[in-house]
Amino acid sequence: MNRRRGSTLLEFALLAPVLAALLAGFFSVSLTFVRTLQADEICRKAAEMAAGGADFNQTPVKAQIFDLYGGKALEERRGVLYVTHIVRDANGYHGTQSYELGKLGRWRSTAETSPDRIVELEPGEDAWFAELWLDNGSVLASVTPSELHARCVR
Amino acid sequence: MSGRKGLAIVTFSLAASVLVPFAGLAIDGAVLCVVKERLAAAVDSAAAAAGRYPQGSPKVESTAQRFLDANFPQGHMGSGTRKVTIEGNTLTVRIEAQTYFLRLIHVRNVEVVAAHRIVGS
Repeated sequence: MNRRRGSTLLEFALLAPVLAALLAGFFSVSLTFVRTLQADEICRKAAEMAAGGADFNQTPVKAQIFDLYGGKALEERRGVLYVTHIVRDANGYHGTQSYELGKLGRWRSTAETSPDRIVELEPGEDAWFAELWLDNGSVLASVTPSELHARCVR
Repeated sequence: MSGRKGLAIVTFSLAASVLVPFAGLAIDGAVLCVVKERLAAAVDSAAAAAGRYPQGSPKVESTAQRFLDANFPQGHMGSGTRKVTIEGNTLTVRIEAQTYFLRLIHVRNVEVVAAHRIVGS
């Protein structure tokens, strides 16, 4: 009886780390997929709103973004959303108007560093560029990325 | 007694041989969802940008291509060749999305399609 109990305990001890790793892996990967979709959706919505003339300095406009799934992360400063108006004129590409939601100070907008690498525009054309960086906060950092990046040009 | 020894390991191995392929299927499904969602967003943006030019203008297609390149470049997330068609005022994009686990049963690619109407701004 005691030997049987000991053997069951030993088997459980051997399998428990494998099961725990599998479960943590599934959980972490699933969470990353969900957050990726949320990040994409926030970027898409922000670019669409910006192209429609939204002013992200206005509290109701910000609230629309924060109210999206995953938008809370921006409000809690676990991520940052950059929305930039890019124009190409005779002198090249310029960011003419820019908004920042989240202000984490950890990432920089591509529009700030290299606006010419976002979208190929013809002279006189313009586009709105939304870029989001999010802290993934994963339970298994080695399996999933520690930060998520999404972008949308409209 | 000795027959019971190692029972948990055998049970776990049998269960894992069923669970792991299903987990793989779920991961492939999730990746395809992300690809579909990103392609739909890219086509939506490309259609909006193309709509700045009058229907029939050669700039409609080139603008759509440029905005597609910006939002969903060739090879994005391991996708294959991108086919772009404009019929009437509908922009349709087809890509071959790569699978990771389904290839074990010889499904290497899955076609993902997104379409959006080009509406003048």
